[in-house]
Amino acid sequence: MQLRQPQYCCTMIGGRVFFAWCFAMTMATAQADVTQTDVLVAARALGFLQNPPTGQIRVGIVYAADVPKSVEEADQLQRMLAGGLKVGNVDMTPVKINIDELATASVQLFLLTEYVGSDGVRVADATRAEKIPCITVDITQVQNGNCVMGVRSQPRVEIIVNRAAAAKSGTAFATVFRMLITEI
Amino acid sequence: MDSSRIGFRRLLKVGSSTNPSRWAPSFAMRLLHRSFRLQPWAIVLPLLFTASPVCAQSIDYGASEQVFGEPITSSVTGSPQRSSDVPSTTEIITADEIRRSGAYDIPGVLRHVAGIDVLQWHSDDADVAVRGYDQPYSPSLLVLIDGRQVYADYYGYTPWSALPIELADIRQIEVVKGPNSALFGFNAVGGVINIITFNPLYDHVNSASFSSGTQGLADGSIVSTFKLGDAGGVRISAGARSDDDFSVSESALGAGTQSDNRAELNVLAVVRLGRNVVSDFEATTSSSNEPELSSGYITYDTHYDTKSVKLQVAGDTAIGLVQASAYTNWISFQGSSTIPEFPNVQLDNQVTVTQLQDVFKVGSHHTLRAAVEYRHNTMPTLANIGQISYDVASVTGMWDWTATPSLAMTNAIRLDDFTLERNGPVPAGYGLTNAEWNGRALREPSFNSGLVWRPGAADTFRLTAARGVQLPSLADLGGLLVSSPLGIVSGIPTLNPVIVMNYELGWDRTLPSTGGRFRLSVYHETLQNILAFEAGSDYSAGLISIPANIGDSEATGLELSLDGRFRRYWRWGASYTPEIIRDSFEPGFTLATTAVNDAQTTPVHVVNLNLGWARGRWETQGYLRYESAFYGIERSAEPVINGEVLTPIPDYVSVDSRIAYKLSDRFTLSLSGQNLLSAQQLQTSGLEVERRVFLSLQSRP
Repeated sequence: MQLRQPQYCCTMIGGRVFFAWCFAMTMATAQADVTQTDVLVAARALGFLQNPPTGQIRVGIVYAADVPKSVEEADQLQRMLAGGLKVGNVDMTPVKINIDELATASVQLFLLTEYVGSDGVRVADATRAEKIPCITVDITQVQNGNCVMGVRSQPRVEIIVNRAAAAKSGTAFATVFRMLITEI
Repeated sequence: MDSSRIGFRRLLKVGSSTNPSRWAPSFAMRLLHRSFRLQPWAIVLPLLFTASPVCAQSIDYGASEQVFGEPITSSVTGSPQRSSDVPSTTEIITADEIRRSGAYDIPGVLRHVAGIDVLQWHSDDADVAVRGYDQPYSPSLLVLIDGRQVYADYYGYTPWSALPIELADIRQIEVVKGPNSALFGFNAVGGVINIITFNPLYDHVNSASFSSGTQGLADGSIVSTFKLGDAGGVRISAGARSDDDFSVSESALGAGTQSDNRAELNVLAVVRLGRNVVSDFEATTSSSNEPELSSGYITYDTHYDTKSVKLQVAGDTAIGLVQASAYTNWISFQGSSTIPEFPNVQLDNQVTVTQLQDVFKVGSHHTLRAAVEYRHNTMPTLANIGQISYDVASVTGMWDWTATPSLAMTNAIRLDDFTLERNGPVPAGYGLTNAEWNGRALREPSFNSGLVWRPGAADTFRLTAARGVQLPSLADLGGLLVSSPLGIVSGIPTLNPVIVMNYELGWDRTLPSTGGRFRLSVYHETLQNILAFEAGSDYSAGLISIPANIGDSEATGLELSLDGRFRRYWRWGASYTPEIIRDSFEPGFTLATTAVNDAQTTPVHVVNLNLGWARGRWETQGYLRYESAFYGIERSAEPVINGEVLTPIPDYVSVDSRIAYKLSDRFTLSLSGQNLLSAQQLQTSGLEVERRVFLSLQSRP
């Protein structure tokens, strides 16, 4: 049994890697800049958390200051959310957060920009430490376990949740929702 | 989770026998029978105390649709799925589409849908079938409202006017094409229509409407929801309609002598029993009068009284989505024959259904469903001599495996264990005894298997196979019992169920450039043991007319549809659904003796077109339907029992339309028309369908 355990693990890990690769291939054709619809889908998906946020919440738009495209996307998100975004019982107020300043951020949700690359692991650390969910359109960050939920609205709404990342950040979704999305 | 899986496996360990139609019930099935028979409602109560406070909500269709940009359904596998992911050719008609259709009843909405056949016999009497095989008292389409069966088991059909529902109640109509017995059990063989209503816990609906038009139409309805804070909500719906039947024209099927009218009331209360448990209580009642064509091609003036109560508890628990429900339907039917030689009919049918299911995920890629169901169905025989009843205990399992993000496989299997019973006296000269019924048992498996492959974001391919089982109606099984000077007309206990096998290949492609969808489905279906109502006789038992299994049939068809939008304000759709049916009946069974000829009574070519436009306060929608020539069935004047003949129905084009103007944010005035191209048009072997025009005022905030 002890000899077979690693084999099982390898099979499991291999399967998950294959699954994530397949998902990446499926999503590859859908790469595009973040859109207003992406943000709306993400905001609406929050309603399917087991403990959905209510009222006014601060959304931290996490970007890498040394990556122009990340800064650009953060600005774009800031503009989209300017004046607040009210979806259901949630009223979201954006605040930009340099990825170097995650430790001092006082927010209830991370919105991770693309192009952060390996710095994404710092978001994962903050997510776990502060039990704050993270959403992104950068599916790679979800596959790497740095962000809990990835969202794409075009050409078809796709939502991917990393179960391990969700568990570590204390984020749990309603069972109905889990049956409608892709989990890895 | 493990325990439920083990339990399910044990339940599947059924007894063995060399005679599949006479298998003795296994211990598990007997246990199921006994447990539920003693306390049919007891299944609901334990959940109130066992649901763990993890997370729970019944499906919030509106919120889910907003997230995913498409309707959600659980009518295909029993687990919630996006409509584009289901392993079945399914159409979901949204509330918006219902409103734009201009129809005042559900068959009027369905007649615009690809693959659906509607035979309009009288002003308010229509039979609906999926993919052909439509006939009076169409038995192969199972119809439910929020999962509660409204299909009438006593004769095996759906009395549409007696359904306790208003169009404004409906969030979406889910049309599942092909057999789905593995989820819904017996009679879901041609297709399933599950009508999903607005949930007062999540939805806010306050609607009132009044319509008036030709044929003396007067139709009014009110639907209102009330919130009970965060604790729940209540929806109350009521409606009434009266209108005249089509003018009498040449028809050997007879014409009704009464006007149509209906009234209904339904109340749905949804209460949160905790953060994670929701309970629904529904009570309905309806009453209707209408001329109606029976399965024997005789027009009856009918009167229906229906009642139902339903209790459901659903919880999102540590072991998944657990749902327990129990309901009872009562239906009372009175029919006055318009042909003097045929007797009037009065019967009462009661069905109680108890269900328990758990839908859960194992890991990331496996969704499973395990369910048990028990139903008890009873009716007195027509002459009120004795009583026929049956019990069905069922176990169901479903496994949905997302093998890769682009490939999913679903397998569902169900085993129905049926036992028939008769008690009470038998008429003089009756060659059958109650023992003939009380020894009758059936155990039938059904399955649905599907492979869904999504090679890219735009394309979805489906490969499905299914086995469905259509049970003989209670009337077929002995509820029909009429003594006449010539002998006795009776149902019999030895009929076999109709077995339907379906194989299908489907391709959907979303068309972002037009905001629409292309759909292609090819299917082949076989039917074994087709039932005919008065096809046989058993003179040795003194029975001059009995139902019989008359043979087989097969259908091969195609569904081709395309829809989209253009120039911002326009929407359109087109479908072409050719179907060829071949009958293979046993020697001696002819049209004249069976009143069945599926091959020639189904149009081969059907085309549906629709075009809509909406801008500002104006909105309009038009529908065109073409059916190629086919045959209807007429009852010849002599002899009165049997002797049916075919009568040609020329090909025809019908047009429905609606134009609406929003008077204010609250009020909309609309003018609707059906069959606008001619004052009278032959669409069936019954009365000619008339042009209808009506004006509606609707209030909806």
